[in-house]
Amino acid sequence: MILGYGNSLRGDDAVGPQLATILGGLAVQQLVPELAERLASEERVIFIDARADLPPGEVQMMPVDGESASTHWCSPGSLLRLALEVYGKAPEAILIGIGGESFDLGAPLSEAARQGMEKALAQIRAMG
Amino acid sequence: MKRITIDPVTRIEGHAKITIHLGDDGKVARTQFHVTQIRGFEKFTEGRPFYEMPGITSRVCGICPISHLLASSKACDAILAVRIPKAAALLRELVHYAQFVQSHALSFFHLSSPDLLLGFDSDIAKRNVIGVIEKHPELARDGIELRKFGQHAIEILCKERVHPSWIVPGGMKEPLSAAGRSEMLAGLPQAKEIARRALALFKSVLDRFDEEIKNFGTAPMMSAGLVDRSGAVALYDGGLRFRDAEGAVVEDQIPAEDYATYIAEASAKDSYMKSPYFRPRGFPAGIYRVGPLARLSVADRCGTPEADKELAEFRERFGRTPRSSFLYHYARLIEALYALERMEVLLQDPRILDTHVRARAGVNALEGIGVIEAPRGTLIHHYKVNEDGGIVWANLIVATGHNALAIAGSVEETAKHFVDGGKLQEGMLNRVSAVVRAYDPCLSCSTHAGGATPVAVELRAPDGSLLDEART
Repeated sequence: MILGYGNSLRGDDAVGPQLATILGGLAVQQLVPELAERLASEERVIFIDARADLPPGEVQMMPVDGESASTHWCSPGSLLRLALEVYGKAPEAILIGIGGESFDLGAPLSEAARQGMEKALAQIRAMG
Repeated sequence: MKRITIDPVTRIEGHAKITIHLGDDGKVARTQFHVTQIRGFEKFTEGRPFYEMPGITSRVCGICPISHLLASSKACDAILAVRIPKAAALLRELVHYAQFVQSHALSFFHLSSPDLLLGFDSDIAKRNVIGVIEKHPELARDGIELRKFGQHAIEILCKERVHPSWIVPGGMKEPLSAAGRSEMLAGLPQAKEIARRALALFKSVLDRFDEEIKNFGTAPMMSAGLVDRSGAVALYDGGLRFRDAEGAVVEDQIPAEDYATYIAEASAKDSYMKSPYFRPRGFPAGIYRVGPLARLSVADRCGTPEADKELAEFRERFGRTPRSSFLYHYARLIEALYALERMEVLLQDPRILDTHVRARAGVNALEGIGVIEAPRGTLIHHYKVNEDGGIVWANLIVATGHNALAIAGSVEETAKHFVDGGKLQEGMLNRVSAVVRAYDPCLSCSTHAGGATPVAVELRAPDGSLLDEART
């Protein structure tokens, strides 16, 4: 399952939902607790999010699990933990971060973010 | 002067930052509440056809898209100068309550329960939704179930959950099916049971928070919210009422089109957010607040049996116009129950299945204003269009905007009471960010890119050097 999240009105924040849409996954504006139920029924999940703390266009892949739950109220890690605690099962998961450049309202995707999306797309396809 | 920065406040929708300035005696001298919401939305929509506004504005927020859809559609109804069919009005109200249920559930179960159930001074590593799950697994399940009920109702009604296009200028795109109605009715008893349990749980822990209730933003100020003709709570449609801290009604039944006579907006230098104030009293004397606590203060009653019973108990405990911002949590839970009761009433109204749900017209007015009560408070959409229906001007006043001054005041009061710079403890700063969470501010319009939301609490010496820091 591919789960991309971000605000499609805010420039490069849209890379998550856009990539998820291209890959036939689930595109959401933000993570919300009830997604835990859906996650509990999946074997493998790829989260895709724009990142402001990566160089624009850079792609970073990292494993996430319930142990990496942050105090941020609804992170990939806390969703996995919710899935495990409430539904007894959590999928294997990775988070793909794509460095964004501009998060301005109404801005188009930056060239860097577009290249980052291409890179991420190739990496995801290589995973099979 | 020392400075402590809480940036951003955890567990709220979006980003906010608090700076606490300490005097040389180590006590709090003053505070600032910064909101990093980026403006420019109004500019961004210029030239768009007005009928696209509900769709565009609903994408501003991932938590309350329905609120923007409804306020925007009402503004567009005014541009069409139509009265929407009765069934459409009932359906809009219904979907609005479904959103209240899921939004209020998020606030209580996922954002505030760590403080309320684990305690403000509990281990910061565990003071989050995961800590709550470990200690109260049944509560986590309740939280998800109640949100699911609200979201599922939205899906039944809108067919899609994230960016629904079902609500349109002039009414609704499609009527409700009998099967959809039955499905929602079937889920109601469990949802009501969860809301009742949450209220009972909240009331059972309330006594532990005596100090917070007394010191979480208790400055007297006006409350604003919509009420119906009889003075009962009105969330979808009604007249705006202002009630002062002593309980007197200051203005009543202000129609949407007159809002600007009573509400003016000041720009604060610390924030991109506008600070609305009650125009007749000037700035900043005209401070008021909106949202659950304000609504229960302005209204005479809820208008549904269970919520009214809870409201009576609430008023018996805390008075007719309770001041403590802490009580937003309490009011929110009463409203969740109210929304569920109203859903039942609407679903049992045979008119809700009427198939005539849309009025059609062209541009009949060059200006339109839509006002609703969003879960976090009064939401105003105001558009001006040209003869072709292109947006030439737009103004949005969001709930958190109305509350900006009130939140800033509550932050200062809470910081002055709880923070001692001489012996800084984490629980002190948590209370300061918790008073912000009590308002459940939604700053979701800002970006959610990962990495942009670290939580840093900084204590700075008079020369600006970093003395202490906490990251969560």
